[in-house]
Amino acid sequence: MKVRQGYDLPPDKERLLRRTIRLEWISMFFSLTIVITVYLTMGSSQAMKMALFEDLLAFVPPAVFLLAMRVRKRSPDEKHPYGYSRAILLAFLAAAVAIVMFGLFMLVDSASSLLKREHPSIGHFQLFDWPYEIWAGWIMIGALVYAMIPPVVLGHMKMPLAKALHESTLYADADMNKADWMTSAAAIVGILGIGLGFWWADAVAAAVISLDVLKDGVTHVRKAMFNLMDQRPTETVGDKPLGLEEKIAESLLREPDIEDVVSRLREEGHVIGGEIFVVLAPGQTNVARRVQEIAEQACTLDWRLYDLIVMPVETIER
Amino acid sequence: MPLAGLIRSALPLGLMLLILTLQGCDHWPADPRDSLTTAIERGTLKVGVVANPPWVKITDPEAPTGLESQLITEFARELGMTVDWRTGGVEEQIEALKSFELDLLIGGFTAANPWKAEVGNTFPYYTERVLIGSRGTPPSAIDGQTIAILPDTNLAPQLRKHNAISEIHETLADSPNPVATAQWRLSGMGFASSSLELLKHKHVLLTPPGENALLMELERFLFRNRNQQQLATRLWQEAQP
Repeated sequence: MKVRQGYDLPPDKERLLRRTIRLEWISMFFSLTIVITVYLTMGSSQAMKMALFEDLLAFVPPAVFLLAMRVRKRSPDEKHPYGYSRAILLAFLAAAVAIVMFGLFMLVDSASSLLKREHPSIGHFQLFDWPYEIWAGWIMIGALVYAMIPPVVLGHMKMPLAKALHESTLYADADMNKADWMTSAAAIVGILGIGLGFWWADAVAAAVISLDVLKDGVTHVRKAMFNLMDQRPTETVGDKPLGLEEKIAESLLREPDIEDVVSRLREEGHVIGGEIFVVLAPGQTNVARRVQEIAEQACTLDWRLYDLIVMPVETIER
Repeated sequence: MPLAGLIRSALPLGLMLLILTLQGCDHWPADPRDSLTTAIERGTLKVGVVANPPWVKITDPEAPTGLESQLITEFARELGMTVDWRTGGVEEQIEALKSFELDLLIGGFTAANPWKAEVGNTFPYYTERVLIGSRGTPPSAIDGQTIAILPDTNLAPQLRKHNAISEIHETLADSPNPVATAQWRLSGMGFASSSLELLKHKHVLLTPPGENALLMELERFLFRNRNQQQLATRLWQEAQP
């Protein structure tokens, strides 16, 4: 038995992963075009500023994901006997904390412009000081409509991949993308409000956007923290347990020489590891070989299961 | 897909709502404090002036002259208004503009003004370029040269950066050395200007914060009156004593 073995995805998942990586690069490209468009048109609108920040934050999950994909490929080594698969969770936690801080900053900024009763001035559209005979608000709305479309489409494409690959970072990214159109819509409402003469509409829209960013951040922090705290394996979407413990027990109890089984599993990034405690029937001649067989058998039950340790015990108390 | 359904049902509704509200108002975008409508009904435009020749000259506080004062008088006349001029210090005037006591504020302000986030700024209607010029062929480099400048300018440090020596003259027209001054003054004096640009000032007019109908109306006026050549000629005329 080899103690430090690397983990390879099954070939079908590997294909999905390559597609996901391509999708994340496309995502980054669109984020870049959106940021440039919004930046060039934002003027003095508070809501546009917040939409710009939100679009900038949209870089974080794909960047973390792509970075982690490089790190996690490394096999376990002497210094890191458990491998690098958790790097992604750590990076994700850091990114999520950054998003929370940024959301707070955005909220304070918009609330203060509301309290200071700042009236946003929006005149004719200017590109690099060159004026055009059109209200800048219309151009902003155009930019925001553009900012709505790619994230929603990409979010819907990423969601099934996140489920299939068991990637919580990818799921968080897809979820953020899917909800992104609402922040653009809020900014559009804010600008239409300015057009109608409601100076506060802009700042209120900005506050709504920052609340959404804050909500995203808090969700991600919770998810990353629970995973790092060895929560039992759950589905990437929602908090439903995967039920792998029951699956293992069911399969192993069918073996005539196993009297009792209980397992303790945890997520290590996209893979799941842990211990299986078994009570073997008395009279086993080669316990060492049998235990190895049981471990191999358990690992075949789900593609995510990896590096399970089987521990023979006398009795299991419940 | 529920999202597409949502958009499909919300879009016509939103458009109808938008058209309904648009019909109900005179201006798009509207003024939250109705500055434009109130001024037109009152028949006077309250304009703050800060002395800054040749943009604004206050020889008579009742009738300031200068390029911007003239432009505003024309703007008010087009809308059937007279101008109620208010003189005062810059900060006092900015405060008055921020509290909607004034409809406009002029005084040779540029796009780099420190209040740009607090009040409304028009687009830059005139770009003043400070160039090196001379009678005859202007120099292409000014390293080590003596350059004549007018008093009360901030050009001396700029010239030092180019390793040139600045010399203050009351008038530039008879200077034997190359001069550094605004392009409109160079062409007014009949000097040739080089492409050496020392400074660039983008001139703007100030409006009350968020009064977008007024801002748009003024900018529409500026669109019609922003021929740089004509403005340069007018500036030269205003600069004559």
